[in-house]
Amino acid sequence: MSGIMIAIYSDDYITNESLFRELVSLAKQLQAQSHERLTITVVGDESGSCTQTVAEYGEELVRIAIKVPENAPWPEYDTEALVQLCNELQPSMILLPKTFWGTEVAARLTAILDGSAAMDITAATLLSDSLEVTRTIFGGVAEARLRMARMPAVLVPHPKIWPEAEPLPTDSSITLFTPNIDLGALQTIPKDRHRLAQAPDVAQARILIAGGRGLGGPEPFKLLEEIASMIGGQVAASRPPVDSGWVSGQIQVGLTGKTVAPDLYIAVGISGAIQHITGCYNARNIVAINNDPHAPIFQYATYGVVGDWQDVLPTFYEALKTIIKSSREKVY
Amino acid sequence: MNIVVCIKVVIDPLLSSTDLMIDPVRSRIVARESGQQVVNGFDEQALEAALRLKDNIPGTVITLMSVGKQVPWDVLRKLMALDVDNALVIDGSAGDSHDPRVIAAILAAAVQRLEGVDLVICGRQASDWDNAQVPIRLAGNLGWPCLTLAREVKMVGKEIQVRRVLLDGWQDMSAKPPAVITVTSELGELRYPTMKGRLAAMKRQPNVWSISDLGNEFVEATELVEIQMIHHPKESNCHFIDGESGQSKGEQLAAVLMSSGLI
Ligand SMILES: Cc1cc2nc3c(=O)[nH]c(=O)nc-3n(C[C@H](O)[C@H](O)[C@H](O)COP(=O)(O)OP(=O)(O)OC[C@H]3O[C@@H](n4cnc5c(N)ncnc54)[C@H](O)[C@@H]3O)c2cc1C
Repeated sequence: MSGIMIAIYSDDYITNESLFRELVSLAKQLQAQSHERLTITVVGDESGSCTQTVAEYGEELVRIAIKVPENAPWPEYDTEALVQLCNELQPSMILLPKTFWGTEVAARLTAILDGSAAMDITAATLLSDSLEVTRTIFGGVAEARLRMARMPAVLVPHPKIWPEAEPLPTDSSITLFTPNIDLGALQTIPKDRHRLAQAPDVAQARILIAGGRGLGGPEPFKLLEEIASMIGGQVAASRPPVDSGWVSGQIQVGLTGKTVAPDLYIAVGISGAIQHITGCYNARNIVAINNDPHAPIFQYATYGVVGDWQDVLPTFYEALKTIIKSSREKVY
Repeated sequence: MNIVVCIKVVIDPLLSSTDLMIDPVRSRIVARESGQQVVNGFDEQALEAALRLKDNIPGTVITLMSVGKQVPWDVLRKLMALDVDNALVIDGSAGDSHDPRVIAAILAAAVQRLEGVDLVICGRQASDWDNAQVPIRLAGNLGWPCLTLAREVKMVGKEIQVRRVLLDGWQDMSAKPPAVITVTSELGELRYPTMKGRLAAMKRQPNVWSISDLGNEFVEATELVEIQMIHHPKESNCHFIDGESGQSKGEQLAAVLMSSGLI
């Protein structure tokens, strides 16, 4: 087995471009050591536009597109297609993004190819006879070093560890891979699908104002929305508001949500459990508003307000409005 | 319907890093104090999914299944206060492996030995290693379909159907049993037991099988070289905003964030 393969899903690429660019950096790091061929495979790109953009990441890449039929089960079909491609290319390393698709395809591919997988890796080193990776465990309070004993090694990097690769303009040639799959022979059957409006990617925001269970319901998120739009930020959330259906899962920050690193992260009514912190730990500044002075979130905060958000937020909002208005008046 | 719910006992994920340490002998993370183990949260929700099926399908039998070296029965037993029929503990040190390939193979061998299982329900991932791999590998070993990230599980005719959470919404997916299902937190919390259930649970005991009885050899796909703690909290240097009231603190905060250029 030889070769490094990046596999991405076109929908993920659209909403999570930075993850793809981080995968390219990891792949190039591994390639510098192993000198193996690098392949990028894009799954499910109907228009082909994603594959076009992806093709711009370096001339030594081989680009392969796999189309997914409308009624194909997700991601069983995608996995089966990748298995067939892997049987042909025999890659020794497969890199996938930390998205719903990437995480699940990683597990399915590893199971079928009987390889080894490592999730949430923060470092990877090729030794003379093996690949060693470091990954976070226990929500991020600890890390484990693993030696990948079976090939292919399927790796899902932790977001925001590797830098985002820059495109290198090249003549891109794209090969279409057409797997031989009998839809009727697959085991899962897709039914109704319901799509929410696409929320802007919280991982790209410079300012985030995040609400937690302490907000008590969906209503207060409107106030967060108003504040965010005034200061050029976006709204995020901890897990309980998502589980309770107050907000969309797209804006969840944490271990099972997005990993963000804004300049400013304002956490309102969020206790600061490690599974949340692990997703926002790299924010340059965390501001915590919480009525419990012992809430762990204050350990990570640059600024803290001990108080009920119902008292703090409205005056915070009004004061910001006034300051912003007067600073505008000064300028004009 | 015959349902197996896979349960992992984990260290309480809400313990702070200072309450955890490395057990050098077994190269694993342990709590400094005893009694800090809990049922993995997503697995509790897997049980809730099973109980909801049982609410609607008379004659459903629920079996809890847990692997590990000396799985603590006092932790598992709490679940027996609910409408659970059996508990099966599969004992042996291979069950403590960090490696999903091993755990999935043990579970698969046990499910096959149980015979007649229609559905295996698992939490989407365990809060210690967060691999999200065991259920999918288990399905692979059994040759069964795997439906993932369910926020709803129900039978529709002869098919099992889940409403799977997607980043931008949801999708219904179905399969013919036998199947493996993973459950996510949007499904909702595990119900509370009754007092009567709690008392009855005190007397219940699990069936115990030994991993070595399951015959196979269980080989890891990844070798654990080392584990170490990484200190998260920086020196706490939070600057607390003073003020007579929450209202005045709110105003102060706006001024501080504006003048420091953060907004
Ligand atoms: C495997 C696993 C994965 C997980 N993944 C994630 C994840 O991706 N993201 C995530 O966020 N969590 C995740 N969790 C859950 C995590 O452990 C916590 O349960 C969760 O982060 C708590 O959310 P919270 O802080 O909003 O709620 P709580 O912990 O309930 O905190 C609410 C806070 O609000 C404060 N509060 C209450 N009322 C007010 C008021 N009126 N004014 C001001 N403050 C108030 C309280 O003092 C409290 O600190 C995961 C857990 C596990 C086990």
